[in-house]
Amino acid sequence: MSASIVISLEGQSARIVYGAAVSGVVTVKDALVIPVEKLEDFLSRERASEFTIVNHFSDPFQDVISVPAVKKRLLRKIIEIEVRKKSGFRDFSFIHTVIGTRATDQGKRTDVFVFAVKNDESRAIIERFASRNKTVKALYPDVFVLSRAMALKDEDVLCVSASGNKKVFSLVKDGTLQFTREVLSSSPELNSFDIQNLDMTVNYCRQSLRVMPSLVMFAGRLGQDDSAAAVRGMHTACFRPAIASIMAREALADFSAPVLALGPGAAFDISPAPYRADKLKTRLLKYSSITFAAMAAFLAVMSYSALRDAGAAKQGLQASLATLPDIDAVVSSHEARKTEFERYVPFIDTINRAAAAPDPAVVMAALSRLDTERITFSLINITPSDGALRLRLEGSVRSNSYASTQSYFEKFADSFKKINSAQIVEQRLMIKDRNFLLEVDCR
Amino acid sequence: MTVSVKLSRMAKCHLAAGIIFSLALCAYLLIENYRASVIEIRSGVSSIRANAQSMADETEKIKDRQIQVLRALPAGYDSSSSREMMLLSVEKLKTGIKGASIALDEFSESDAILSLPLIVEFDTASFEEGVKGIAALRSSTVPYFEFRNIDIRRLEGSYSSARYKIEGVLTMPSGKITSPSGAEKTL
Repeated sequence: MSASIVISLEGQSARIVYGAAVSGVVTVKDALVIPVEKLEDFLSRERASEFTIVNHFSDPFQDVISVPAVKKRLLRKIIEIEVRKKSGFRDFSFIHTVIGTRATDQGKRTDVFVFAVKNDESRAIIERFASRNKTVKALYPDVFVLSRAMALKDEDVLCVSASGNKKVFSLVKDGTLQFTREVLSSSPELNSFDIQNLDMTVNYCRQSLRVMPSLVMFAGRLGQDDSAAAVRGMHTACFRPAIASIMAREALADFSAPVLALGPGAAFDISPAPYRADKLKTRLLKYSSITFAAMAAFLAVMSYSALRDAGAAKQGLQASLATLPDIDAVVSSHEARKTEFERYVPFIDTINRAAAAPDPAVVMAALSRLDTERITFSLINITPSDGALRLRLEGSVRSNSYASTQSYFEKFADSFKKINSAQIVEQRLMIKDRNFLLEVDCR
Repeated sequence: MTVSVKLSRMAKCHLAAGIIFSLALCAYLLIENYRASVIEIRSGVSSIRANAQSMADETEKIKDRQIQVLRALPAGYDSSSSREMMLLSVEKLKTGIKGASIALDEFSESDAILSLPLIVEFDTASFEEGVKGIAALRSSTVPYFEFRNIDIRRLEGSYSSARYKIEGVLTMPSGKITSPSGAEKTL
């Protein structure tokens, strides 16, 4: 929670509050009152650079004006023209609150409460701070700060507060300020003259604004004494804001305006528009510069890291280059070897062909494992055929009976099954002369 | 200090920060580019080293194959011509197969391959001897005996004796090879 400093300029004195507001809870750390002429000394001593100012403007233009009902974006411009016409102000800033829209003979019209101040008065305040190298965070009219706190649901509140030798009457309806007036007073407390003025203000509200205040709320010092008891015929209340502070509640009674200004209230900032625009630009440039600086710092770190990596990589590269073999020698040696090897290729082909060719000696040896009982060979012929050997066997079966001849031949032919790579292509037994022919492929 | 003075000062700060940021960004991009280049070159050098090693290994493999080929060559290969080598093989067959008669045809050469057709004939009563004779023909790879036909026919009037007639071609490359540089032939 960052602490804010609010300075309320009230006549000859400046009330200063150190505090903060979080989630509607106002916390006050310190509060003091200094003479206005000592403000520069205070600002010179104070280390904070930003201040929220609450000011009681000496010569504001405040009135309820009626303007044609237009779109919201055009309304402010029309109000500005109307204020310029009615107040005679040339250079001014204003706050407005829309009271309502009504139908008239001239068409639909919008009633607006306007509070305008001359920029010269605002600039004079701002300049006092600028001369001490301080910035005005926001400049609030005191009446708006107080009226915002008076916003009660379903209640039209007439707020009565004291400012110097004046009494301020403000009508707050539906949370927005509808009307305000100041009257001179002979005493800081509520007196009979003030009560008369209060009655007249109520009548004005009823007759002109058609609003009957349901509650009269006394704020500031008036909320601490028995002012409420003096008013007859109306509901009254005393405004005592919920403040978390180590200071006595009574001690903070005179600080209502600065304490309430600790809360959010940007909509009531009446500082000159160019000043606000310059502040916004300054803030944007500041954040942008910080972002640039942060990114530059980040890039510097990244650059350092990348440079270190590059250095390590370069060292590795140099070491790698130093131990790199003579590429030309390797390539020329390889090429020479390849050329030399080409002469070996026919030999390798011959050797491979010899290794791949089926061996007739193996086939011959396999024949000895066959069942050759009663078999006599007259011819064994072996010829190469498509990567295999074609074995042609001719012979006769030595047997007296035909049946046994057939049996011996079949046994002989079946015995080829023992040779895995052998496949009988043709088998023929000429039973008449007991001769046979067998052709087998051996792979 | 008025807000406009502050704004002017902040604008200068912003400009300076922007320039510093731009310089930092340029520097980072340059350094990063340099780093990427060095790493890429290092990777390229590693690749070259691996390729060179692979090439050297391949050269060694070729050399090993050459040595294997030379080991398969018969004794006296260096001092004899290819034709002499083939005829020496024929002489060896003659002594290896008992009682064999060998009929030679003429040498022929095609696609750097020298060929010598021949017919080996021998009689034997032992089947085992016959198998040995055929195996003897296959014992040499250079020159290599390529079988064309084996004919084993029982001799007239004999129960166990047979005539072995083996036709084939003795082949070997006509060119000569020598020991590869940096290698010794072991036979």
